[in-house]
Amino acid sequence: MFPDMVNGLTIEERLAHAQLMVAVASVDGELVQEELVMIESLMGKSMLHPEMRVDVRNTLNHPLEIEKCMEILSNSGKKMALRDAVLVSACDGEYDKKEIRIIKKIAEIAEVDTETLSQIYQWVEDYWGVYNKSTNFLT
Amino acid sequence: MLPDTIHKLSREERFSYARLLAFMARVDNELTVDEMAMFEQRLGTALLSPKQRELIRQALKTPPPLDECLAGLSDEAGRLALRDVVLMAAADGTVDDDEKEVLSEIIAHLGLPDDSLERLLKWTVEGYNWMQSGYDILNDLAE
Repeated sequence: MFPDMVNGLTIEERLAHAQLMVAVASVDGELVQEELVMIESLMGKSMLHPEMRVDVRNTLNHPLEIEKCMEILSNSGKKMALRDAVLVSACDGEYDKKEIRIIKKIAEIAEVDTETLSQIYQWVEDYWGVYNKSTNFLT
Repeated sequence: MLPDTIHKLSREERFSYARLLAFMARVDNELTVDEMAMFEQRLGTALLSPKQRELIRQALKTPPPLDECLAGLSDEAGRLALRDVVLMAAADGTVDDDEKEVLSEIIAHLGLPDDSLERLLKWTVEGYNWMQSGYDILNDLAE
């Protein structure tokens, strides 16, 4: 929701980033509305070309392999992808075992250690806190 | 659950919400990449149909009058739209006087307290700091 640098990645990276999010969202076997909202939001903020967004939506039933998406990403792209993978996994209210496993795999490829990964999980939890403050104000 | 609730509004309200964002994006007659990215992100969250998105992008070129944008919003949709137009206004790093004037008009239309803008701007800064803290975690890895 807040300004991001994901739109500073190359167009190929932004596409791979979006495809990776689809892979993460669908790993637990179901794609809920909240995950779709998050993916659409991420594609929006990365200013992906409308036709590319259609390509990404077409992979919803047949997501690409994580490794294939990750190999297109630069080092910073991999780290942003890890961060956003945790966000996408969290948005349906809980982390499924398969989601945790896939996030761990992304962290390994991005060469992110367990301690930093824990910090990312905490950062995502903080998101809900920040957001709820606006909800409290608005209701 | 996803804390955002834009996608739960009616289709018509989401469209009005997006029109207000388009209006806000053009208030200072400039559209920066940051504002555009924020705009596209919020459109994504609203889960608009491709046809609606096309209409919204047209609205970005020729924004509708503010009254028209506000007319289609319920109280809840109006408050959510207010929050997000504040984010849009702040996306380029500053909220100029023209933008503040429009935000005050929206607040008055919604019948919200006078300190609403100040509170939302404070919340926006908090959100930006949260986003930056995420980068700090990622940047630490590079050191």
